[in-house]
This record gives sequence, C-alpha cells and structure tokens, in this order.
Amino acid sequence: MQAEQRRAFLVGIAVALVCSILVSLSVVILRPIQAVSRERSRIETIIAAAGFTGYSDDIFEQFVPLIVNLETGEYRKESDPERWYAEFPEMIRDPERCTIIPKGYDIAAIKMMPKEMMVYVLYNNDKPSIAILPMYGSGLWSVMHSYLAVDLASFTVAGIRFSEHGETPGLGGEIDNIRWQTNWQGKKIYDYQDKPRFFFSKSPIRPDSEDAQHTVDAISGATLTTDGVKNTLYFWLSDMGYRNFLTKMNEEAQ
Amino acid sequence: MSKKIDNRQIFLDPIIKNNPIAVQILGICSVLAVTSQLKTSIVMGLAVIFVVSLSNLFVSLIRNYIPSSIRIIVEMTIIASLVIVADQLIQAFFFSVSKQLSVFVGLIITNCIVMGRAEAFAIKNSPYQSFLDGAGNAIGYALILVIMGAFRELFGAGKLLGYTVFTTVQDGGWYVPNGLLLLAPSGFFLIGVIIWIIQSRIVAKGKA
Repeated sequence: MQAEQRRAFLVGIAVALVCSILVSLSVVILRPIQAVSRERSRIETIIAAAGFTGYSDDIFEQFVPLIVNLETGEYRKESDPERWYAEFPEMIRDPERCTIIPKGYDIAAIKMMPKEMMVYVLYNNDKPSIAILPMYGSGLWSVMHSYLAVDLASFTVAGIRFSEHGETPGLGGEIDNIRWQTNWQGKKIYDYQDKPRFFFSKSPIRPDSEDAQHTVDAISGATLTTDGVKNTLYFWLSDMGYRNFLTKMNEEAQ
Repeated sequence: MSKKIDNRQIFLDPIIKNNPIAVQILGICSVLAVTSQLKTSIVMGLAVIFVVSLSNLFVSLIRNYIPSSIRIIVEMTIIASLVIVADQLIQAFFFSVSKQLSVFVGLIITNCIVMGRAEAFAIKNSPYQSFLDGAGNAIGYALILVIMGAFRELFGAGKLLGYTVFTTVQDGGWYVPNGLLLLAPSGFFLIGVIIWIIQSRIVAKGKA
C-alpha cells in the first residue's frame, strides 16, 4: 500500500513538472510572434475605426501619430508610436506618469489616467479631418479598450472599434458586432449644451428628432456592458479627456 | 480485447460511422458556439485535432505508469496543458480568430470527447492506436464543425471564409440572408438534421 501511494505521488509530480515545462516553453517561445500579431491587429483596428477596410501599410502611413497633453490639448508628433504603445499597458498603472482621477469624476472606473495619450490623426489637404482616439473604461467584467474615430469638422462619430475586452461572448461581447458599430456612425458626440451625450434605445426613434442624433441601438443582454461603453465615452470626451484637444483640432479643421 | 482491431477501422470508424457528435452526441456546446463562421470552425477543429490526438498519445505512452487512483487527474493535467499550448498557438498565428473564439478554446478542456477518448481508449491501448483513435474522433468532430460553419456562413451571411459568394441585399445584390442561421438556435436545428441524416442513412444501414 505504501509503495502504491509513493508511486502515485511520484507519477503525479513527474507529469505536473513535464506539463508545466511544456506550457511555459510554449508561452515563452510564442510571445514574440504573438506581439507581432497583436501590433498588426492594433493597426487593423485603428484603420477600421477610421472607416477603411483591410490592412495595408500605404493606408496606415497617412495616419499621423500625435502625443496629446490632455490637460492643455497641446500636441506634438511622435516618431516611435510602436514603442509608445508597447509601454502603454504599464503606463496606465504607473502612479508617477498618471493623474489620479478625483472621486465622483471617475465615471469610467479606471482610477487613474495618463497625462498624455497617443492619438492618430488623418489629414485632408493639410487640415485635420479625422482623429482616432484610444479610450478605455470598465465594462461589466473587464476593462474595455477601444478606438473612437471622430470627424473633427462636424464633431460626429466616424467609427468605433474595440481592440480588447473580456465581456461575455454573445451578450456584452456583441459590442464587437460590426452592424452595431456601424450604428454609431454620424452620431453627434456633443449635445446643445456642449456635453457628451449618447442614448441606447430599445425601440426605433424618429429620425428627425434631436435625440436621434445621439441614439444608438441597445444590445439586449448587454445593458451593463454598453453602459460601460457610454461612461467610457463620456469620460474621455469630457474636459478631463480629449475635449481641449478636440476643440483645438476643430478650429484647425474649419 | 479478444479479437485484433484493425488500425484502419480505429481511425476511420469515428469519422462518420461512430462520429462523436452525430452518433455519440458528445461535445455539442462548442459546436453551437463557434460555427457561425467557417474560419472559426476550421481553427477550432484544428485545435481539437491537435489536443485529442496528442492527449491520447501521451496518456497511452504513460498508461502503464499511471496508478489508477490518480488516473483522471493525470489525464486532466495532460489535456489542460495541451489546450493551453493550442490556445497560445492560435493567439500567435490566428490572432483575429482567437478573439472570436475567446473562451471556447479554453473550454476544449471540458469537451467530453477529449476526456472520453483518454478514459475509454488511450488508457488501455497502444500509443499508435490511441493516436489514430484520437485523430479519427477529432477529425469526425472537425468535419461536422466545418459542414455547419460552411452552411451557416454561406446562408446566414452569403459569404465563405469572409469572401462574398452571394451578394446580399444590403450590398445591392439579390440574396436575402437568413439571419437566424447566425444565431445559436439554428445550430441546434442544423445539428439535429445532421444527426438525423447520419443516424438514419449510415448507422441504421450498418446495423441491418
């Protein structure tokens, strides 16, 4: 009996060891390849948010990366966007490079935010036409990372895409549904009081009404997730977010 | 095992005659979840082929050393490790698909086919035969997945692998897509039809 137990123990440990080595090896070896895929997917998401389809370096060359100081709205060109992006996940957790968001203002539930963000801007005849703004905020289960493309002359949504989230597939995960995302196009981001405003509607809304310009279809079974999306947009479009930058760009776009 | 089993039979039987989905009715949940597109179906099928054939092989290789008291835990460890490796591979080479498959790759661990083949076959047969049995069962699974994926994407969205086959009305064509096919219930209907066809045409004839 004793020998039997010892054997069970030894076999168990041996199998666990071999398996753990196998798993760690696969993770370590594949990490660089995954990083390349992830970068490519990020670029695809940005291109798609701006309303283009497919991936091509020619298209992406037209996207100018800018570092924006969120407080003042000042911006400068960034020469190495990939490195900046690689540091981004660490940056948003580093209290030294972030501003702590005062309680009551933290509607996106992210606790702190970087002082600077990297956005992409598309120019048309030397005038800025579309800005692709990275945003993140809490959904139901996860922090959702998204890109909102804003038409700078009219302050309407040009497109929205999510690069990363962990919402329930089939319910909250439907924010990845292209048909729903298309719904956002042309919606006004600021209302007559100059505040960010969006609704989710469960029934059709009169297209000529004032509200229709702010209304997107609701997703059934995804109320908390879409509320998270809304709060994320409210936060990042406010004065604490891109508001100052957008105002500046809006003047240049006219 | 009184009579000698033919390797060919071990490999080919589960593909149609003893198909794990259509005849044994195992592993249905993942079939419903990932088959709304052909591409995700193919990748999921490949992942399952990878996991089941290798888990069968490894379990069979160490079958004489596994004390029966911890047999299932050892099998689970091997299966779980292989699933993580498969998940990492998919994230590396099919990143966009991995986002769509999300949790379902991880859930291969709980797929009854994997555990079932390890317990029912690999634990008492030679490594080569176990590998064949695993591969055969997984290919049978993948086959149903691909059939359903192709059907649902073609008639639900007018596309195959993302390329337009029928131009839909929304894009100015003639085809009115059947949106139901993209939703989960249609998976049940389709799988029912497939089970019916295979049971009545192939299995019943084999018995008669």
